[in-house]
Amino acid sequence: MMAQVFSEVGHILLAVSLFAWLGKVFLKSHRGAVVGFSIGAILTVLPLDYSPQFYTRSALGDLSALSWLFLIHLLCRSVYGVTMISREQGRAIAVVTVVGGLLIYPASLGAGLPDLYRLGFDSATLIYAFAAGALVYLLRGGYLNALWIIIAMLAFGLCLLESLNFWDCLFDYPSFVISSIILVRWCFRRSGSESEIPAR
Amino acid sequence: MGLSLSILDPGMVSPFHGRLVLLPPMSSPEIQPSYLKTWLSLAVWSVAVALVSVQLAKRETAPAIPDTISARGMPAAIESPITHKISIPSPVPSVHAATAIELQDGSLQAFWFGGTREGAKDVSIWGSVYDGAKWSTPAIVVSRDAIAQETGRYIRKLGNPVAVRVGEEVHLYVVSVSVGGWSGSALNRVVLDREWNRVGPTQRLVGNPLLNLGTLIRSAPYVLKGGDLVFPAYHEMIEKFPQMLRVRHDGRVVDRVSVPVDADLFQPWALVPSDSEVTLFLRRGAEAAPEVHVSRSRDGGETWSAAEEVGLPNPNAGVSAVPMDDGSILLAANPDEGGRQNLTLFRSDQYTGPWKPVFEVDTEVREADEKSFQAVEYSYPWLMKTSDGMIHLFYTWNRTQIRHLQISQEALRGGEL
Repeated sequence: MMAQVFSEVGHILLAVSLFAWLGKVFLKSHRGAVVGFSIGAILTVLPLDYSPQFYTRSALGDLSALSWLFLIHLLCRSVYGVTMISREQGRAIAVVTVVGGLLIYPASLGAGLPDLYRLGFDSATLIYAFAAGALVYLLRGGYLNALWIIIAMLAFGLCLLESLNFWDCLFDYPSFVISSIILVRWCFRRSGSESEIPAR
Repeated sequence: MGLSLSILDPGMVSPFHGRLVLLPPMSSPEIQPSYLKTWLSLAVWSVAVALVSVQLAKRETAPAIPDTISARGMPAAIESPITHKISIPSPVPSVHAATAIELQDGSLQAFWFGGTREGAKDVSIWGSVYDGAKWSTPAIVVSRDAIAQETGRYIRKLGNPVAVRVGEEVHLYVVSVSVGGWSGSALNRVVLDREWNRVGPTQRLVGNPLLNLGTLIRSAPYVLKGGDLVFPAYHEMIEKFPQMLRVRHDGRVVDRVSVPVDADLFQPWALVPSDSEVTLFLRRGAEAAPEVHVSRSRDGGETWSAAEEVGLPNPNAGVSAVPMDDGSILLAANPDEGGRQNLTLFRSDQYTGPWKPVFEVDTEVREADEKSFQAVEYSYPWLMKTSDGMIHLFYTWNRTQIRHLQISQEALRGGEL
């Protein structure tokens, strides 16, 4: 039951965030984002046979902690014009996500590779390693990075997702794709800024 | 302007700076968290660690040891191996992929998918009850709309069902597709009472991190000593391969093992000869070496041997097997390389053969109409042994009927074609 509610709320968040972002892009103002947010909110709560979350849930499944963070950031950015995740924080999160995704996704498409996804079901070593990472982030003031891992731990501990695998609580395929884009853009930006340095 | 830009656009003032507790950026060292923030964060972290520890402790309790299939009493000897051969009447044009269970009172329930054709939107899961003499009029047990509503998802089509009896309940595991073809499949669990009323919510099983796509089942699970079920499942996206899915009592996947065999070996059927051994019979999907294969585990399904051919041709068709009381194995397979027009029962004392054909299941249409030979199909066998020692075979008859054969073990033992 809790998993159903958590999943439903996640996809309502996805719908309102995307509508708010689209409103801002098309109307080029925060007022547009508010209009988009309102349309999204109405569509998700109306007793329709086919609500937006009905379709997004079929395609994407439950949203991970990282998707929740990305969506909350997108909503805050679109509606209030504020940034929740700095570039450095986003990059640190993206590195972990992309490395993790590259370890587990290819092995899920074939039986020949080591199945590291399996560790997410009950490997205390894996999960406590992430818990230790969260503690290090906390003590160093990296609250957002720590928050990401702590939300994933809470989702795992309270069985808030349909999946009982820690990897699924941490990140999902959409957030893996977004993280990959973040890293690729960062690489391009970095190479671009390096090439602008004049030769001595 | 992309999503990623929005996420990382710098220079904006965070609403959390100095006001909310947890989110000052790392790049702003001048904003120090207060003691309250630190302690609150540590408290949340401690709660999370405690919850994770409790969850991990819960999962350590059940070892992956299969319940051995016990030997059962022998029935009285009967001259013909077939004691009953019944077609279950179908109200829809196309049916396929039967599954069956024995209830506590000895009656049988069979389920299959049916509609105008395989993959059509009107395909539902149908069921019928066998009282020992005849099958009841089939009824829709689970529809596409019902699963869509209960899981909160768009469902494009329904596929193979697998029924499991848990006490007085019938747990129906159903393949569904939301996006794409069968490679976009996922699993759902519907819990019913013996009159097929819903008991509890329908559960979506998660077997794959990649959008939960590509996981299917077709064969009976075995039970672990702790009560968990292990489904011989298979993956069908990009590559086809077998995968053992361990499912907890609440319908959630708690472990999986990918069986490292050659590509295109799938639709495993599991037998459990002892409390540490598991044997998988595998359908061969590729055109090269179209034979039934077998892979074995001697540690309860943790590691698997390389797949071996068993000396039986396999025209890309599902197989089924059941242990007989004398220790031999009965296997139902389509042995003609050209298609599914011949379904035969084979018997062997070894998992790898040699297999002796003991009974050709259905030849009616072959004899009646040789011209339509290629169109004939007897396929997707489901073998099971009931508590009275009888063997039951369910299979698809020309996609228009589900047929049920009741077979005497005693008579089968003497037979050879």
